[in-house]
Amino acid sequence: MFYDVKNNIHTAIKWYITLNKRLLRRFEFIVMLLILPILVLGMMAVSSRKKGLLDIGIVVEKGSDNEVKRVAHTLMEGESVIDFSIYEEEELAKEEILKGKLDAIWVLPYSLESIDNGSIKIYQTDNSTLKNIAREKLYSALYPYIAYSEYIKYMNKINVYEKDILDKYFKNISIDGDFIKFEGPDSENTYDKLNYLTYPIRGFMCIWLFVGVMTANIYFLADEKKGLFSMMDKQLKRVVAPVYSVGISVNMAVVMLVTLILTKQSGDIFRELIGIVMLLTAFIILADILKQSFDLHILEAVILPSVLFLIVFAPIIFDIRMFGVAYIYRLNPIYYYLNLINDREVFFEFAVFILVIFILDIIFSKIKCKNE
Amino acid sequence: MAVLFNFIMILGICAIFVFTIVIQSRGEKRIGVGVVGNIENKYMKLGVEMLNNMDASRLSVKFESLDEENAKKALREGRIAGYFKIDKDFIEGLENGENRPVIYVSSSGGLMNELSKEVASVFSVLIVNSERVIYAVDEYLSEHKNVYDRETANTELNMSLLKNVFTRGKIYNIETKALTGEVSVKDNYICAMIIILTALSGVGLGSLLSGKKDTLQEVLKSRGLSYISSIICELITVTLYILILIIFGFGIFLLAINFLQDESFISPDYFEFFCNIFAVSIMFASMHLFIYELIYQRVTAVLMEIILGISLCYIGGCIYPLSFFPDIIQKISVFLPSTAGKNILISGLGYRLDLFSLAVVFLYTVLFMGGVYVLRCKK
Repeated sequence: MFYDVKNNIHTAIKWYITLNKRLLRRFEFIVMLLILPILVLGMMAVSSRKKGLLDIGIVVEKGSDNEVKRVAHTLMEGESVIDFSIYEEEELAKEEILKGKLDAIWVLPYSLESIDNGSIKIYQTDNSTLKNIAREKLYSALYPYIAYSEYIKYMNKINVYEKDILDKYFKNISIDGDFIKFEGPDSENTYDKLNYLTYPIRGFMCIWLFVGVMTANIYFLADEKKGLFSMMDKQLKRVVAPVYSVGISVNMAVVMLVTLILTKQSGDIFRELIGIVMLLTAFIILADILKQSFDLHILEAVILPSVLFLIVFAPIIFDIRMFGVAYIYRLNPIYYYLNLINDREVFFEFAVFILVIFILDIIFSKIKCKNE
Repeated sequence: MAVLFNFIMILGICAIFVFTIVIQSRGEKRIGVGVVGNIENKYMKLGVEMLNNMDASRLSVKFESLDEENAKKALREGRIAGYFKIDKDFIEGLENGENRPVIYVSSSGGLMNELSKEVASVFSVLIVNSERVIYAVDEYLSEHKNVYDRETANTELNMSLLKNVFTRGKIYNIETKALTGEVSVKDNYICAMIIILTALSGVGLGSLLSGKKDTLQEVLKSRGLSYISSIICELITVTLYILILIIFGFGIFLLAINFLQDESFISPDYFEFFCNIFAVSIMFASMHLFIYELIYQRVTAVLMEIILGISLCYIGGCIYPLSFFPDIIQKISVFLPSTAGKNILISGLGYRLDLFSLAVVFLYTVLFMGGVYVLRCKK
């Protein structure tokens, strides 16, 4: 038995080398493997010049207080997903809205001393959640002055009027530092290094890997149809068959891992390795289940709907669970992989998922053997 | 059979989406945010209750008080978008003038995460500046004991600041005026989804288009069928495949939403919209033909299809709106087939016809078909 296992390993390695020779001999295969890291590097480089989700024009008219100008500059210079630009004239800013260069304009009052109802005029083309969030940002820029104003008003109400003394007490209180810290479930959030433009890239690479695994199986079926294994005994064919999907996918997984490391998207390297091995295992088993259920043409036809399923039901672009979808996303290996990178407790759920589909695969293959 | 299977599977995915969106829009669904901490403290309790009942955000955000174990579980299950972890001595720390940072825990990245961080930083500014004012009053009254009662002043000032925060919407005088000809978000995404389907459809065409066909070509040529004729036949086949995917798969999805939501989700001029879909389908069909003609090996061709399809859709503004991308990408994308195709589809929904995009679509079709012919003659 030991001799059989050794023989099988030897056969698998030989086929893996032959398969690689067959693929890597073609210039276009090497180009295709290299295109992925080049595209990702390009995207990372361009996204560093990222643009905000909204363009807001802030109108600070001539004669406005220094405090008003300070608020406008605070908004412009702060880190935000919203882009701000300052205008001195309301009409000029309105023209920019008509040209489609701005999404909204905020006309600040001349002074922040008593901000009242309707003090700030806003012109916009429509309302949206993003614009609501932008207005919260404006309020947070105004709030230090609003809070100070409330302080003075309250002290006046309790008959304390000496402004110099009140200012002295106010300036004596120094509360600095970050009040909010952002973390993931395991303290560090790996995805914090990424912005909204680069976050989906890892998910897209998973899709590419999945298509590679499926295509590897189709490659095997196509070779089988051409008669490449017609003289081969069944035992040996059972050794060679997984070499196709494992061999091609391992090459692609290595390229994916190297891309993640080169583009500094990776977190803890040990967790990245575990994640990609588990993802690959899940894809290979799923592809094997599909291969046993369908013939070559249907298997090829299944790739597109499978890709759509994987994109929709994994948090690649948006989290489908926001729409109240339950359970279905648990059929998606990419969901487990993307969450595993940030939360080690997903490991057990992912392992259970792989075990379940492995058992299903065995059942399917036993049924197929019986029918043959 | 394969096309039928493909269509049935896509229909299944669309059906899940349709029912979910319909159920979602009929029920109340707010984004959950957890609060983990000593909720029994009077300020915390008051704060969370006011957020849930009075603040404008109550319409979209629901704050839930949870312990850390349940918060982690809820985050993993997607019931909450994130949770605030508040130190148990947070309030006491505030009273002593110490800043104990509040930790916001989320498990994902991307757009939602960035927006939630934006909101969290706003929350941070409000708290820090409110603290400053409250301590200043407290310091003054502790040194001038006869002026006013400290406890009462603390409570009254807190309420005053809270009232200001909760009525913050009133400081704005908002005028909303839609621009004529501006494309609605819904129409934009309908056309984007059609482009995604079309661009990715090449992934399933391996058995039809890939592989060595030289012998077949020679036989057809000997029987009087030129390369141009065989190319046109393949183009017609692939275009029909794409049209079936779009019209039946996506069309049924739209009709189902129209039916279930009792209102018209989309009301285009159907004939014009179909003509535009047809033009875009021909362009992408020619693109798929070109890729499979250029790359002989099936594995490489299919993987190249998926890379190109996803890249074109992403940079073409089919996933995120183009306005989210840097200027350089926006300038490049107008020349991409995906952006041009999307603009053509949008014009079929009653918007102004984009002649530049039409020219781009036509040019790509001619270039791809020319490329297929040249490669085939070369072989």
